[in-house]
Amino acid sequence: MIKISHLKKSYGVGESKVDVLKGVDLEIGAGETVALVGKSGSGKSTLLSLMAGLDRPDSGAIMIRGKNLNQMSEKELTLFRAQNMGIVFQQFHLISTLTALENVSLPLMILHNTEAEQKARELIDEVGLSHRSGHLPSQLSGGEGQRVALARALASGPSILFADEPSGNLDEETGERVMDLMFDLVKKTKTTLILVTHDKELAKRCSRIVMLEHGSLV
Amino acid sequence: MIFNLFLIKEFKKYPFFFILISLTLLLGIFGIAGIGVVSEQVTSKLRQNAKELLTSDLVVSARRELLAEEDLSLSQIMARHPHRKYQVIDIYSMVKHVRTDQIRLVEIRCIEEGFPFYGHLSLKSGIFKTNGLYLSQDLSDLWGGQVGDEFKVGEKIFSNLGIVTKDTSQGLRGFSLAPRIYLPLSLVKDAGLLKEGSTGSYARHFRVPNFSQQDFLKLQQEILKALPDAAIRVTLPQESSEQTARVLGLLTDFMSLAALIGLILSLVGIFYLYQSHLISRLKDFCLFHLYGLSKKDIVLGVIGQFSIIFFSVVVGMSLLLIPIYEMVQSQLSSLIGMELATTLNLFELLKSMPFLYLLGVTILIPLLMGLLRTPMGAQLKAAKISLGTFRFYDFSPFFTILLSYSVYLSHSFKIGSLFFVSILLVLGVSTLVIKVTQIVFRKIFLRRPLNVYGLEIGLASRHLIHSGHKLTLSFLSLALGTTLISLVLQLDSLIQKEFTLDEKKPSLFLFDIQEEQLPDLLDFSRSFGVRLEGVTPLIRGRLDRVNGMKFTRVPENSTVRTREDEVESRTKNRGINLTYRAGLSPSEKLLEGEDFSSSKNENESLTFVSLEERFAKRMGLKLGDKITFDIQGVEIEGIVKNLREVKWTSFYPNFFVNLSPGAIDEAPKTFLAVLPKDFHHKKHAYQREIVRRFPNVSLIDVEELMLKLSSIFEKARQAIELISWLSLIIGLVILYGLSHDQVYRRYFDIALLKSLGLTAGQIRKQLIVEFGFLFILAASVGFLIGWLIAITIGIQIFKLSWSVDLYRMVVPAVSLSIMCLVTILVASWRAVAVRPRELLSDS
Amino acid sequence: MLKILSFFFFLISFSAQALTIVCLGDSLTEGYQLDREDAFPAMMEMELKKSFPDIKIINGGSSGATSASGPKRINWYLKAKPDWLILALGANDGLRGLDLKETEKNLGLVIEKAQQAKIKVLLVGMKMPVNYGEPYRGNFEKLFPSLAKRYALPLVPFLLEGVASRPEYNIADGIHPNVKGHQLMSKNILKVLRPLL
Repeated sequence: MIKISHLKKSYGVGESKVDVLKGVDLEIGAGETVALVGKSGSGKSTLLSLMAGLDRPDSGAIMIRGKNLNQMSEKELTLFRAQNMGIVFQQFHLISTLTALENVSLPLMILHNTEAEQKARELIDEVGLSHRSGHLPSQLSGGEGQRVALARALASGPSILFADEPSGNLDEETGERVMDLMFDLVKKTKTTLILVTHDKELAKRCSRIVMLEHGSLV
Repeated sequence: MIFNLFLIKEFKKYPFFFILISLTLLLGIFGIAGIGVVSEQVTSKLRQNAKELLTSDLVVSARRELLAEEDLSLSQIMARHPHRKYQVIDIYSMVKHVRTDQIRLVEIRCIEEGFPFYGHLSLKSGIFKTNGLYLSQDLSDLWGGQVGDEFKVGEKIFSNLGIVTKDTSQGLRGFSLAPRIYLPLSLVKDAGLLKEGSTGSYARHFRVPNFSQQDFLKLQQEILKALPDAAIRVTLPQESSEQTARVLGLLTDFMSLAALIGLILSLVGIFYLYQSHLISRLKDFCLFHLYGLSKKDIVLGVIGQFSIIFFSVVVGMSLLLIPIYEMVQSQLSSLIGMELATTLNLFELLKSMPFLYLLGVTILIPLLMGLLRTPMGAQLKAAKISLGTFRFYDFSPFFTILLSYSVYLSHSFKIGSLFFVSILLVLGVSTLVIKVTQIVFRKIFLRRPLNVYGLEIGLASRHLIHSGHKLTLSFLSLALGTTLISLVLQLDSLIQKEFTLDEKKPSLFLFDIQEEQLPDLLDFSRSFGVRLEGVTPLIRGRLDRVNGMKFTRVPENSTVRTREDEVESRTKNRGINLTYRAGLSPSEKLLEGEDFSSSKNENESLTFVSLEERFAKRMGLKLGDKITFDIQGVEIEGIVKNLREVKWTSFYPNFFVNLSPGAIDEAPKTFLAVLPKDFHHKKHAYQREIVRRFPNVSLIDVEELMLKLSSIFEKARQAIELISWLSLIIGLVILYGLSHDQVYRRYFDIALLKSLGLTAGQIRKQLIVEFGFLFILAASVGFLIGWLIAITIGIQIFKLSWSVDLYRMVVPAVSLSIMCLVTILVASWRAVAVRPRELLSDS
Repeated sequence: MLKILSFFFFLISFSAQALTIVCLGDSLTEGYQLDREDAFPAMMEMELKKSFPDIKIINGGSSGATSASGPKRINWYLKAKPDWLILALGANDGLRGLDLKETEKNLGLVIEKAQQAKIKVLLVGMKMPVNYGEPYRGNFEKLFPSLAKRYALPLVPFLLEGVASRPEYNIADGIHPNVKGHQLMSKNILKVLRPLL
């Protein structure tokens, strides 16, 4: 599913240049659940962003489903991402002026899916929030919001789900329940999961753990 | 210790913000300063003009010499202040040009050493001195009088020492019975013309150095009290010419409003900036609070920061502004086309500073109250930190100061409070409009799917519906900004209309044409190659009774009437000039009632009366009143059929009272006529011939008069134009900042949309739809309100005539909206370039 | 229609009277800035009513009028068939420095017209202020006695006797008499007129 070779990425120029990724090689198969762990500054978020096509590497290749992300134009990349990936963020994950339902249906509408609303209802149902579908994000609790974000990420039926510290902003109990939901859905839909976390317990729930330290795999 | 760290470290950490605040403050203060400078300039120029008209600082005048005790009282008062003085006596006399043996009526201006204190007289050659006889240019033209010619004045013969080509004290009288000569007072006395039995205008002129306007007003009151006879007038320069007084008044009122507008706009900007800043700093404040800094200390810290900024700006401005101004003054003057002062009056600028400081602090109070209301302990744990809400009443200190300042600046409670109410009106209406829009949008959009009208519109509409407070605020700011800009522009156009003199004015105005002279006069004019227009009869009459009741009269019980009685009796003067006319003249407009030609089938024996509306108001007359006139001994009754507006500035023969033809056609009358502008080239020659052949006909040179008036008006117009532009620029800068900021707030939302697959173009489109709609709505509301307020202020307070200037209303509104849209485009370009990468946890 | 009506009323109002006097003059006669009742024609009427209950005095004063207006205006009043004409024109001619020959001619015309209509004329004399200088002042002043002599008219030597240059008798502009001034003017005329009635 995902193949990464010699990935290098640095930020800044001249004296303040920081090498965040110093040549990473990684292969992830379809349906795998992979945890990217490491201390802050280890480059795990950067790796995620590159894999998700949110950023471009300095050198190296990222192949997803046989397609090289580097060779895609901005437009192609956006489309590819919309069709194949879902992302769950730690925060700022919902558009505050859209209802839960509208948030979930958004990716589908972007892809001009004519059954967007129907599909969104199904997914909201899956995450157990049908009774909250008409509510705005400000009216939802942290956990509910993250669940809606999850539904949205899975709305277009992506092959890969990226999760960047998804329980980071939630308390322990809520976080656990949301993670349960996530793993369930991922298993059910056979979606590849790339999970960035610093939580060792959470990482253990994945089938594989990849550790990063100072920009290299350990 | 923490407090100091807080203050100083903050400055270093957020230089950009504090620089922005400084600039905004500077802009607002600069606006006031700039406007203050210009207004000071123009008003002092006008005052100078007025002084030159009067030739001195204060004049005590009457149609008679002062009695001994009056003279004594005056001397006693004036002895208290060091001053210079001279007398000016104007009399008419028959003077003989010895060489040609011609005698004619001449106005002799008897002057003393020192004349004039202000202004000057220019001679054809040489310098004017108070040593002998000088002829005015028109007299010299009329008589062919040259330097050296002898003139017999009274019992003496004098030699003409020079010809006066320009006399700045000539003023706007326009019409004098006779041309002028200048002679020293002592010589006129010697000539025996100032003995007992003479009549003329006697004036004592005074120049008091180092006196302020207030001082002169006090002195005027003092003298008026000491010399209560209504016959004696005490005149100050600003009263010397009605036109100048009116212009000065209008100008200063307008200037002060414009200054206030610029300031309010910058205050809006400051509020906005502070709001963003405080929100972004909130987390740190919560931490400070946790470390032991009380909320009160934080608030005081913020106020302290603002105070430091404020005073730095003021000091910096004071230090730099004057030298910079002095450097650029000449270029600026030529750029604007108006002479500016060579230096600035710093004290004048600084006088407003306390108010400005208070305004700045009080507008922050709502935000600071919000800060106090924020549960800082809880905030730290919350997922999203938000500033406590502010309530409407938090703005009351600000509004109080604003009201006081408005009144102070405009020197009028009426204007100040009207302006203040207008601001409140804008806020009220804006809030209403937003609420209504949101309700309407809910109905239209929320029931339907997100993308029913397109995804961009769907997103845009939901933003507009759900945005609550933040939306209201930006809308309000925009509406207020555009209201104020619109107000300035509308007032500007109203006032400018007032000051623009009609192009179609005649060259000469003729009156006292005897009835039997008229055919000869017309024949002569024809043979001279000109054509007289507006030949209108003037009939003398009295208002005797209204609806059967006599006019109430002012009881005359004493010989010396008070000045109030004077004025009262003058306005109830029953001797008036009337005319008969079938319809309206080209410079008249029907306001109420019907014109004479309608209802013709009715009782033909009724005479219709048409009244000029302000005259009718003064006299307490209205439509339908039956007025009985005494026309040269014959009683004529008429009914008021209509009220009309007369454009007196057209110089067309117009009257307060028009009667329908038939009733008084046979009454004794004289005629008026005008020489149209088309024959302007023959004006002088024609004038000479008329004086020769029809000596009893009087003439006014309208062109001369207009020239003098228009120079004053032109200055006023320029000043107003400048002020309007200045306010507009300030407003636009602030609005740019606001709209730019609004778009940038969407940073993370935009990043999210991008990560979901929306293209930059789509996002841009959404922003443009959303903000475009908002701005156009706010701008329209603002402009409409601004227009309404301007009309109200203009008509109620400035007494201008109402007019719709669509051009000036629509063009700025449209260009402002376009400007804002462009701003969104520019801002969105960069904001839309944000990378979704920013959404990740390590950013 | 209206013209005829107004003349009719005019005639009725006057022809029924026993004694009709017309005062033809300028602002001094009109009573500038005063009520009609306060101008000297009305005052004279009030005074003479004691002896002549049916007397009617018409105020034919018009501010600013010069002698040139006289000949035309007299036509308007001739129609009322007055018994007396009090002619008080000329002041404005003098003030405006007009040609005194014209003034003399105009006044003469008025007098002739009146006399032709068998109306008795009382001429009112005027003087110019000192500042108008000689010989103009003198010539002006002489006009009236000269005319009086030529046409054998009674003459009021100077209308403003005791009024001119006296602040208490004039309004603020110093030129036009106030109510007290008009009282005095009325007296000045009646002194000459009354014995003749």
